[in-house]
Amino acid sequence: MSPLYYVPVTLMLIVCGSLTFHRLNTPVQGNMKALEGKAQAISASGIFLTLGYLLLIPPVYGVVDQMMPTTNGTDLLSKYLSLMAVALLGGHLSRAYGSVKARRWTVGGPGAIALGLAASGLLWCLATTNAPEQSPQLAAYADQPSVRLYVWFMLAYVAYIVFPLIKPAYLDSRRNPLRVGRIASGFIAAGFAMSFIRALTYPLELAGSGDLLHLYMLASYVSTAFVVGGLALFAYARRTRKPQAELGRSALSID
Amino acid sequence: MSITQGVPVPVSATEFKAWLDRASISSSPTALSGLTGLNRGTLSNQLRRGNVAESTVIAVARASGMNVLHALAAFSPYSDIQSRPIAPSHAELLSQIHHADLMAELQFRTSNKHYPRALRQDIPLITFPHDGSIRAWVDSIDPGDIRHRMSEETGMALTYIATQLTENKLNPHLAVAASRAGGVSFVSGLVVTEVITPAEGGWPVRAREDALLETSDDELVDVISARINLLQRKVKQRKEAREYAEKMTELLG
Repeated sequence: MSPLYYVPVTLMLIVCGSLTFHRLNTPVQGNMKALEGKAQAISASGIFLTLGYLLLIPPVYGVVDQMMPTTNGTDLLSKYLSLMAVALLGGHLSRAYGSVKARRWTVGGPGAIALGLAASGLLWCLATTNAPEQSPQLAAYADQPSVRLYVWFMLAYVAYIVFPLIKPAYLDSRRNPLRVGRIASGFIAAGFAMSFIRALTYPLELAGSGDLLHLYMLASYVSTAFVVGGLALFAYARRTRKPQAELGRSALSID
Repeated sequence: MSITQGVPVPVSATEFKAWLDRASISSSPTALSGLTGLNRGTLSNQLRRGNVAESTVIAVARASGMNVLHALAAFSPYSDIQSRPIAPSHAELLSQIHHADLMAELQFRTSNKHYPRALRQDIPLITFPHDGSIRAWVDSIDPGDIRHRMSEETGMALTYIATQLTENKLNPHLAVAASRAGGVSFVSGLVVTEVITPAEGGWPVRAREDALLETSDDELVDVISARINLLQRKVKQRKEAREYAEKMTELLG
């Protein structure tokens, strides 16, 4: 298997896993755990995303796939975990950024329908793919039309969730009173924009194959890393009580 | 180019070089850097692009012992800078006094027993520019439509002027345009924006202290009242900014 596959996946697992572990083990307030605080959806999203990447590590993939009713069912499970991560994150960010439009798209009926369609589409694609051997991300069968559709369903769902969040995240990157908050939202906006652009330019990817395909996938990993990094910066701002430290001083003081 | 025509730029490099020639100063960036202490790359860029910052002219004038106002007047955008008396008006001086100092004055006048003036004897006034001091200066010379007239004269958008004032900034062109619109000394704007020092701008020593002592009770109360309104807005903005930052870090952190 190409290092272009497992190196980025392993790196993403380390980044997501360590940041999620750190988030879960840092009390929000007093003894309140991350999964009990207002940002519990982000913690849950981090767990789903980490598990999704864990399943893609070849040794883990092999073991889990032996327990699956169908070959490469592990990849589908990994995709479902990622879908859940994106759905939870999208709903939470739409509330946090106060975007009515994003909330309308990602939460409630429309959000559930989009999630259902994407999940059903992925299942149908895997069922119609001729993939007798184990292959994480179905990379060995990337030239089959059903696999191409399989990838597109995933990209399209992510694009659907992140598109309405790009503008609110960008606006926060301009108006957040904290510098670290502006940088964090800038990362999130950039990550979302990259994900959206990758979904839009997917037809161009179809012209490529093999190692080139892995390079396109790198764009998704980088965009995910941007979003995860942005959220980690917000966690850092909360831990170090940045709002109180930078804005808690008397507005009258000139010292 | 005159500041009364179109969008203004800093002084032209051609004029700057001619001015250096007349003063027998080398126009090489290395020599100018050695003379003024300014970064050689910055000077080189300014000369190459054809726009030299006013601060560069002033730095050269200071380093070579020239009168800063005479030096600026050699350039077309500032040729009329000394055509009006350069002394600041009482209102302008008052505008550069911090609200805390104004309130201290109010306390001194209220009771010498509870707030003896002697307590303040060796403590100088808060230096300017301080938070909101440039907006206070513009307001102090505003005949009613000063922002529009500044915008018309410089070609700069009203929103840009508003942003500059919010950030307690004003570029030299806008400062001179404000002075023109307000009918006051062309130099005051350059002093309050720190382009030149009060001494270079002809401000008497202790000018602000004297202005404060000469201010009548009703004027003092009016100025404090106006400043309190601005302060209320600032405190409210800070509170809202903190609440927003807390909400975002709580929800996303």
